[in-house]
Amino acid sequence: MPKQAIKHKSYFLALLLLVFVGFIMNISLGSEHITFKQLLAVITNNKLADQTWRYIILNYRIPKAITAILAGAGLSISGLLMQTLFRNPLAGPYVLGISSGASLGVALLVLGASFFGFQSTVSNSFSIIIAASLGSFLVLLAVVLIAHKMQNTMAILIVGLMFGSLTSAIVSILAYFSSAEQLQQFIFWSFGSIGNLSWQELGLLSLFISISFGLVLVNIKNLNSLLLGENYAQSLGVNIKKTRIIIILATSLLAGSITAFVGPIAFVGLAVPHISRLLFKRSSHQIISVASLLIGAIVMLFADTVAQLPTSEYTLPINAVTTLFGAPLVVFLLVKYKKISI
Amino acid sequence: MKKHRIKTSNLTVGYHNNNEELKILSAINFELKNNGLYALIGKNGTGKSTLLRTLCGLQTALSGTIVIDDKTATSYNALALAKKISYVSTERIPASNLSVFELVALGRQPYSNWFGKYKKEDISIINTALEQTNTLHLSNHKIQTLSDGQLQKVMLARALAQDTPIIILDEPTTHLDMENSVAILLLLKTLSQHKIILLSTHKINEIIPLATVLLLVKNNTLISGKLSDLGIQNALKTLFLDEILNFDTKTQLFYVKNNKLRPQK
Repeated sequence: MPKQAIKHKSYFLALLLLVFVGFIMNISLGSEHITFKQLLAVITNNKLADQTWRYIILNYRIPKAITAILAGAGLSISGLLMQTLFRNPLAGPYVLGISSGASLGVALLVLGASFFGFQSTVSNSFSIIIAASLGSFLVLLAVVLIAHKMQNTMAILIVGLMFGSLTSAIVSILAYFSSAEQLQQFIFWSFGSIGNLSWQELGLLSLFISISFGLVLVNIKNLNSLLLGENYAQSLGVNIKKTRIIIILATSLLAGSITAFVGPIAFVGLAVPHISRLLFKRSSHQIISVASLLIGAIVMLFADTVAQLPTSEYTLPINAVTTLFGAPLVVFLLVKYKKISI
Repeated sequence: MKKHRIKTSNLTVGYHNNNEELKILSAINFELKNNGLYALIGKNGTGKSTLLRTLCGLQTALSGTIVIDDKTATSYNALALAKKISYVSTERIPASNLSVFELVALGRQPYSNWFGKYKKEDISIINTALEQTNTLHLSNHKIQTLSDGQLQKVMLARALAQDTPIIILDEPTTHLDMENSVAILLLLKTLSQHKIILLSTHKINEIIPLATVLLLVKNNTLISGKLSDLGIQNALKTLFLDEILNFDTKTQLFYVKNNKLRPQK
């Protein structure tokens, strides 16, 4: 099918171009507009570059744009993994309760401080990252342990949902006993923010994401077999138990690390795999995973650009922007193509 | 050429239910050692699918052993088993954007490299499987758009592409029209010269003249033998309720008793 191959190639090129455009746009638009010329001067280390701009671009805007790419790509891949594992188009990165675990961690730190009677100064973003990581890691551990015992994959889905409900119940109780100030801090975290990462934190995030992508890559064949259901996958030579654990591990690493560093980001992980499938009209993971990765990066770059409300001092919560634009888009695509699949 | 076989010794199949064993079929002893078409027949709900799934390693046996070639089935890993046995069930597959070609190509997964790249040889095997099942013209169709009958043929093509010495098929002709059903059975008969094909079916009159050996599920166990065997003849006679169906030993066909389905004069 050479004709189809050419079509796919041109789509991929167009998506790559959009990532690049989104990246430049994301860097240059913000509370202050930076022209492409100034940007180029900073990047090429030109001496004429303004030192203030230089500082903003190198320590704030570029890390933020890279965070957007990593978060968008990572969440989309983890959503794709969950949809394939559970063969359910409604699955997303958070179905295993990972983000609930993270939010429980943050809630315990921010809201639980007075509850448990210790004084904390949690203005420090790093302690929030650690709390969120610990929370999602504990949920991950529980899910993997249970997944190992369960024969039935669908049961894991329900266990994940139960974890989610359980943690939000605990968060509600904590919230009930918290001060307005603490509550505000927690809610701000749950809005999601991709702008606060240092280069070191970014390095750590990319490490986690690279490990997960590696796991996905070596399992790409097994993912395709899973499209036929677990029995057929096994009869095609897939070690179901092992593959299931690896997929859960990769998803948790992605969703867990991203949630820890930037907060819960809704919609992207669920919707981007669908956008990819509707665009390419394929299900093979060799194609859909690359497409999801690129489209996820584009969606986050553009969503963040909008969230910055260019030329204004205000920033919208990124979590709200992704949903605000994404949900109608998915509805439109569904109405147009009239079908949903994995 | 290497000879293949599948053999069971004192096999019990069934399910675990709250630490209790729910035995469905017990004392199953048979050996399929020559290439041929083996037909598993029996009434609804008697455990045919359970037995087939157990033979494929998709379900653990409650007791007893299954030997494939010269090793017990449990000593194979999933990949090694996938090169010995291919399987088509009656289970629905999830809706996806896979094309017919891609679906049949999945049959080559056990042989492709880590990235799932297919060699020229794989492509020609896939196309042959599509041709044999008369589905080549559907290659570029999405599996979501196929009818049940078309999908059944395509799933069979996928099993053929897997190119295993043993093929296990659970009711491979259920959704097929009369012509397609006969065509597929004749294809399986031809292929069975070089393979061990074990299939379950309810189209008993069609399979009786084609089957090398019949495996009959009765009274929670299994009896096997050639059609000419006296034991099999007797078992066929009492397979169904006498009031409804009779087995005629001359024509080797089942008839509805007293032509009850025909309009009465």
